[in-house]
Amino acid sequence: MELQDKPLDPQESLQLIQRFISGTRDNFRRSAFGFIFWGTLITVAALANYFLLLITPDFAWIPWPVLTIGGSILTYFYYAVYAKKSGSVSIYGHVFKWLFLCGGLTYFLFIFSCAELKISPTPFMLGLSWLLIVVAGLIMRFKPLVWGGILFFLATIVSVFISPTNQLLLTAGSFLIGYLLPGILLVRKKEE
Amino acid sequence: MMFNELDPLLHSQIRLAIISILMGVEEAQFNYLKEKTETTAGNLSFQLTKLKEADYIKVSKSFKDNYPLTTVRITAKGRKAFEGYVNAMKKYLQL
Repeated sequence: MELQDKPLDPQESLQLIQRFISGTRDNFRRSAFGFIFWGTLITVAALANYFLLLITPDFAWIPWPVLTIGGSILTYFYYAVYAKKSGSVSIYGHVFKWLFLCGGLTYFLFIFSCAELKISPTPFMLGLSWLLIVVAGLIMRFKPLVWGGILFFLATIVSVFISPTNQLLLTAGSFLIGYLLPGILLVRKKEE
Repeated sequence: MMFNELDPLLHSQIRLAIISILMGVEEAQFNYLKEKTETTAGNLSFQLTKLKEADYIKVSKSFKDNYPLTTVRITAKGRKAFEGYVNAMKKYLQL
């Protein structure tokens, strides 16, 4: 429907506002890519680390730098191309960009600090994930993500009491259920 | 309250559509607004100028890949005007 430069009646005004606001509101669902991609990536990295520990313990850590650095580059290009194509930056997109960028740098800080202190970074990583996921879920008003965040909260507590090897399985399970699964549900919601 | 007492700047289809779009985004490019409002470039420029003169929006011009790029974002004044407009509308409709 082509718009005219004419005054509106009250009903028309509200319908028009609703139409254009809802047209931009669902842009946040583009972030489903991030949840599916990173949910898969971290699950694979944790499982690969777990199985490599059985075969070649000295190089078992290799999946982490390879997958996370490669994943960061791919994520950057995905969102750069998407932003260029869409012609707009949604408020959700703006908030998530900085939330997850700063979150990603904090993961790096934790890994660096824990390597220096010679302690397992897993509880800190899961703890930071709880914060990022639950905040994202609350902003998007998307319950599966909030529940996913709560799962990470519980996993953080559990991780303190188990061995570093089992922490890898806990990490894989948490990202599979609390991160990847909500991402898939977000895509399905988009399709509806 | 009379209906015609509403903010005359927002009381037009295209300008209200522009402001409604900008309420949901951090910023939008000119072509994005043109596509969404389904209007001509000339008309959109005219309406944007009106909104800009009222300080409801901020227009930035730059270059990207050697092509001019116009980016628009809503100001605090524009946001307040939109909220006032919606509230007045709700009051009028007794919602």
